[in-house]
Amino acid sequence: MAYRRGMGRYRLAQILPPLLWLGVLRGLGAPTGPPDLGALAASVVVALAAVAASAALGVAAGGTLAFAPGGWRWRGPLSMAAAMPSVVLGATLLRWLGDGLGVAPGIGLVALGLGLLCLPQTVLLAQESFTRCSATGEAAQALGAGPAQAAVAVYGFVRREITGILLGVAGRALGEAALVALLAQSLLDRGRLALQAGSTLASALWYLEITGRVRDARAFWPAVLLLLLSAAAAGAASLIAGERREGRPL
Amino acid sequence: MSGAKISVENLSLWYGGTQGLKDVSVEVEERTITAIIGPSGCGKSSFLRTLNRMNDHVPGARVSGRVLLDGDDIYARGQDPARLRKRVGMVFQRPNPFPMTIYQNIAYGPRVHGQRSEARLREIVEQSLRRAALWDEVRDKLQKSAFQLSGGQQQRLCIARALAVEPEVLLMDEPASALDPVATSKIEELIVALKENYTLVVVTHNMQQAGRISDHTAFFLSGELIEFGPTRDIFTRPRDNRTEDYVTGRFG
Repeated sequence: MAYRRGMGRYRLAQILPPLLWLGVLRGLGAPTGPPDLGALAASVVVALAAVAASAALGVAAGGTLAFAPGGWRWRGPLSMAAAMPSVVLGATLLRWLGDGLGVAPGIGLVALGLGLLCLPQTVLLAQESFTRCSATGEAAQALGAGPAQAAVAVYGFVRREITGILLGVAGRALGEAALVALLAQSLLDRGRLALQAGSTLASALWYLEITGRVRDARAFWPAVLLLLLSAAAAGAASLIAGERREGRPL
Repeated sequence: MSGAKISVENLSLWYGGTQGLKDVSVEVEERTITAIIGPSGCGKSSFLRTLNRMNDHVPGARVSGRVLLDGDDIYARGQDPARLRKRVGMVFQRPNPFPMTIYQNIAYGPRVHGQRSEARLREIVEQSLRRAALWDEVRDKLQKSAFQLSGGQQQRLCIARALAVEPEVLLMDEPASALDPVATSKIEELIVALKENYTLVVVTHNMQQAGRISDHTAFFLSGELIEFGPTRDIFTRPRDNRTEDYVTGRFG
């Protein structure tokens, strides 16, 4: 899989919704007012919570699939789920989470929804990573390495796994305007969304969009901050991977 | 037969309740290439893995019979699997370089076995890469990640990594099956060249490949060794009907 390297740049371009670029471009002319740090903090919290939820579930499920007999059969359905437009998944998930399970609306719901949204990708990454880990461990043992020495050889994959999760989840969670928009919409319908309190950068952008104001200067700061945050997530992932060069996937 | 590097005597292998190998006896001569052929699931990989005790790690796996390396039973009490695997190296079906630099990949084995001198390690790295016909392609990027190499180069890296611990025997489990034809022919040339210094046992599902590279061929079916002999005989005048059916492509 290509996530091992070069993913930073590729992902960064992929995860940023068009809304964001629009916001930056339109706002460039006349940025006004201070950035909304509350929304920035909310975005970070949501992303971190989504990473935690997705990483915990994804690594557990991926690990199980990697070692369970016939676990590879899940790759097809998982790839399909990972490739599904997030709006489709998001709409279903939100109805289910919000109405079915009665999760209180707010940042927690957004984070949970995003975490689940990113889950298929995380499971795939984890499964791939664990499979490679065991192949590597075997190679080390075939050279006469003991278990502790084999662990050293396998360690590199742990970093890759973290990278994959960071890129796959944090990046997506930060920029995932569609889900936030859906959530905001469904909450707005029921008059439950306080737009000022608890809104994230993505939902702020979304709000400006639906009210036809995305092209005005207020979109500038949310868009720029979201861009910087996404870049930071991609940068952190590259740093952890310790590699920035494009490689050939196997 | 004297001069046998590996003698397998009445070897049977079970995974839990199912029998993977049934009473297999084979002699592998020193500095020859022995090909193991047979349809999927016939036990050829299992057989290969008994030769360096890689099946030790499979839960529920147990063996009976003897595998002699230079006359010593590798399954005897007190045999150290790590020391055995230094003598009997293995190359896997899919290239599986470590997530490290090219240099570290090769140096890993010698380091595991206690080589600390960087000067000596540099020599080993160059020598191993030369033997694996990879040196000229990677000499300028030893400090780059092994994953930057192509699939064929990665597989030759894995061969070099196995050679770095100076084994006597090299086991290869379908070493070219994940590679394109050009990379495959490079690996085949390499295998033939390695015969000069090493004893090779190569599992392959590609009968033309077995015909091109090997001196002896063993044909497995459902865990049984059906026929073993000089490769030319196996392909031109097999003694067993099942061998004939398989090598002429009637099944498998």
